[in-house]
Amino acid sequence: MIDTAASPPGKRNFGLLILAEFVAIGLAATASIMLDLGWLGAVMIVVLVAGFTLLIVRAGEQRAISTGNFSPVMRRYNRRMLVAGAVYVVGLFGAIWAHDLLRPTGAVAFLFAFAPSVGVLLMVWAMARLVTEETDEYLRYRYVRSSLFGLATLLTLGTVWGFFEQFDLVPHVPSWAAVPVFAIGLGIANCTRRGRS
Amino acid sequence: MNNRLKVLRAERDWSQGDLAERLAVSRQSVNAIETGKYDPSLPLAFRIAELFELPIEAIFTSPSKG
Repeated sequence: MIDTAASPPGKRNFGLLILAEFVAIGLAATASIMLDLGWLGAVMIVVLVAGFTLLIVRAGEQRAISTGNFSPVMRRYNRRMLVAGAVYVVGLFGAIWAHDLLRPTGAVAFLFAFAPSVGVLLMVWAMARLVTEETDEYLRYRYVRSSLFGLATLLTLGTVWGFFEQFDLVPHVPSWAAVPVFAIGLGIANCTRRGRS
Repeated sequence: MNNRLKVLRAERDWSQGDLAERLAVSRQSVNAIETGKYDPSLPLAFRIAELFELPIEAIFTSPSKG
């Protein structure tokens, strides 16, 4: 009777996919800059990111199933994050387009500036729903622990960077970086847990 | 908290996946409880006890009592 999978199937594919995404995006970004592709280059990168994200999510789900880490709530979370990601891209590009071409002012300018936040707020909502909807108490415990690590990362980097910035030692970082920094912390927590288990 | 989950499961020739399915939890949950990485909540401990038809204290023991 085998209790634990020594090498989960799809693990290599998962790593290769992430590597392939970095290489493909790097090549696309280089081509975009060197050939001065402008919007076309940006669209090309977005399509690449979207395609690879779908493949990585699917590979991640297969790996989670094989290692006994998967739950229906996680599948729902992944779908919500994909939708939120798509909303974010549309909101961001829409806001940039509106800013460059329409030059809105007043309340309309605030409305367009708020557009990229909608997708990110949906991601925050999806993370909250993951914790509240998960019925498997151990998986929920792990989500909460990872989230706390993400929060600690954000608080630590935000505080240290803020004081460095205050004394003109480092450049300004926009506050929308909060969610990506939190997500990086979350990712580190998940990777270190996988390394231990 | 120490537990006899692995022994009880082996006596019934159940895999971790079998036990997880019977308890409606993930296989990782069973693994974490068996290896002492995670102590189950009281409701889950009761479900485990009911599944094995044993009192909770016959499965889970205080670390101070060895």
